[in-house]
Amino acid sequence: MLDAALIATGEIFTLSRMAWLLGGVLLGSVIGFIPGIGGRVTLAILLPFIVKMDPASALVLIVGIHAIGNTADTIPAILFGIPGSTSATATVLDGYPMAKRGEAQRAFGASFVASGIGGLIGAFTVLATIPVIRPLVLTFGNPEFFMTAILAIVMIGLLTGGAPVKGLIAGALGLLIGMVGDAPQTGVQRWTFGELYLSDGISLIPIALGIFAIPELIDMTLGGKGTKIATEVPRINISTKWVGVKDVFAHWWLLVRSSFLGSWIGILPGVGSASAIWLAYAHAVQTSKDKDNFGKGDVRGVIAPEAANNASDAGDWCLTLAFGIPGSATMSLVLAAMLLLGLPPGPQMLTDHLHLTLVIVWSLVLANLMATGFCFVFTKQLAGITKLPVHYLFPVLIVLIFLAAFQSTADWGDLVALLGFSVLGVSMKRFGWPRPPLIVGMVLQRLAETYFFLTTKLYGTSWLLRPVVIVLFILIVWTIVHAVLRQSRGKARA
Amino acid sequence: MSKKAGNKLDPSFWLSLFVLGVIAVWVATAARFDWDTRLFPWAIGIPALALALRQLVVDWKGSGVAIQEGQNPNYPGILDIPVDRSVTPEVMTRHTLRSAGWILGFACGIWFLGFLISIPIFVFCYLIYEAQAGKVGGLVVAGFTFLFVWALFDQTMHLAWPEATLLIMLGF
Repeated sequence: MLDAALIATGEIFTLSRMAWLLGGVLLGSVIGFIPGIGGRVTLAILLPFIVKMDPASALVLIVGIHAIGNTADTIPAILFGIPGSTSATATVLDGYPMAKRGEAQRAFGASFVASGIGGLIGAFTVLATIPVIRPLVLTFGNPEFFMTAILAIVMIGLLTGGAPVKGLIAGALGLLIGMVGDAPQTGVQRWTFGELYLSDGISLIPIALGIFAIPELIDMTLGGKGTKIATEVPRINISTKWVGVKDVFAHWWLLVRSSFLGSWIGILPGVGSASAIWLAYAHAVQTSKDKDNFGKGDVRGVIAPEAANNASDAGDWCLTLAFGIPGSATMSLVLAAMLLLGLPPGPQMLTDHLHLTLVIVWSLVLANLMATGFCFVFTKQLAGITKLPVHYLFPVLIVLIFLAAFQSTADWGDLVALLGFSVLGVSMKRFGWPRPPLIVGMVLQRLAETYFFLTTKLYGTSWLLRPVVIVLFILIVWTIVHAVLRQSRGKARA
Repeated sequence: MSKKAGNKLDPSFWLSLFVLGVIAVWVATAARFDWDTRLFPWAIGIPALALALRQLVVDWKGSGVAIQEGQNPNYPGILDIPVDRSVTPEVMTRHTLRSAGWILGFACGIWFLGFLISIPIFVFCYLIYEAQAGKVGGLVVAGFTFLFVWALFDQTMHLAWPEATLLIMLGF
């Protein structure tokens, strides 16, 4: 291990490798800013060029592009309420209200620093767990994965304050919508209505954009001509990024917990950052004494998901390298790139090619630092966008949203899905239906159904007595009881 | 001061009915699948159907949740981006329909003219008629938007654009 670490250090700290890393970060930041595009598309464009490079340089470039994506996708989420990717959906809830309040710089400061530190904690956690990662992951079998998915949906569904039932229904609706298309085990077409587009299921990108982005854009222009995103004068005297940095250190314990949560979720196959951010957000809300400001611009609602997002990335990498299981669409491309580079993912990446695995861990550490620094430098300029008249931004953002939705599968169905889910998103927002559980349900559907099927086939009913399943079951029951009691107390007080 | 929220057959009720309907159709149609295929849809759908029915009854009777004066009756304590309450619901509905009209118009433009032609037209028209910007400003923003989209999505990503109906009709 020590020899491999020394070789990896020697390989990364060369002028050319650092240049590739910086190049990846810069390229990723330019394209990653555009909603729905992110690192996945950048990687897809560069794939033919990457395969001609030497493996270490190629991996460094890939990490650079990928690492900035998780930091830069926060920018449209905070500025316009448009999640740059599904990993930024939780940040919208508090980041966007902060921008409207004139605290975009504070939100950016908190977000970038939390992302950077979360990424570092995630990378070091993975580094520390490399020797034990295999037995650690294997403690989770199909039943435990299934229960984790259900726990995530229940937690997010019940976060909805006065409307826990609506939250649970929205989560279930997300699961049901996610079932459209081929059944994962039997291949039977479900609810496709004979449409070819639906046979692969509805892409998550048009749904996330329709549910979150379009309703916020419509509301953004509500104030008429000359309205700006930042509608209020900042409440704090020094409305700079440094206030956000101080916020991160003031809530350091939340940052550490969210980062570890993200690291662990990242290691679990198929769960990914889209779930990690919501679990971290749920954790932040549930462990806070004063929950009233969540959803209205509470900086803790930015810190927790951003830290978890970047921390889960390291785990995701490790899983892809060690097991050949990509935790996200981007990681599928990484897997493809590795195969083309002659590096088959699997246990050899922890033995024969351990130095390359450590090059990736080093690159993650450095790329997170570079990405944080790069975004941090331009915080003031980015926040300045909130002072532009929204009527000028509206048509440009609508164009970008349509393009982001269309490029996901390049089918008319993407645009129809975008329009349909925009109507649903506007209705849900207006009439008090929480939107986050719907997205989480959709994200986790395939994972939950696959593990549910395998669990019932392999274990019958005996899985209910597995220790981790019992713990997770108790957590689910506790979450439900806690929500019901909170609602009863709320009614009693009123 | 607080009052009970209790609008029968208000829009919230209709949305609950719609959600109930979707879940009911999902559960009912799952019956024609084999056991392995319908197991998960039923495991999720049947409890969800019960919850949706309960929600519909709650909406019919009035939520019973006490709300503060000035708070949106349909939005008590939900963790999501709050609805802008600085305008009346009528103004909000009018504005939403107007914005939806522009978005739908753009979608129709894509269908009829294709992405690359409809993008500058949509941006220019919106800026001139809705934002009441000057023609030069409108042209500049529309031009830059087109150039950006053309350079990134057409020239770099080689995105497979959908065929425009007008171009098909003209035989291109």
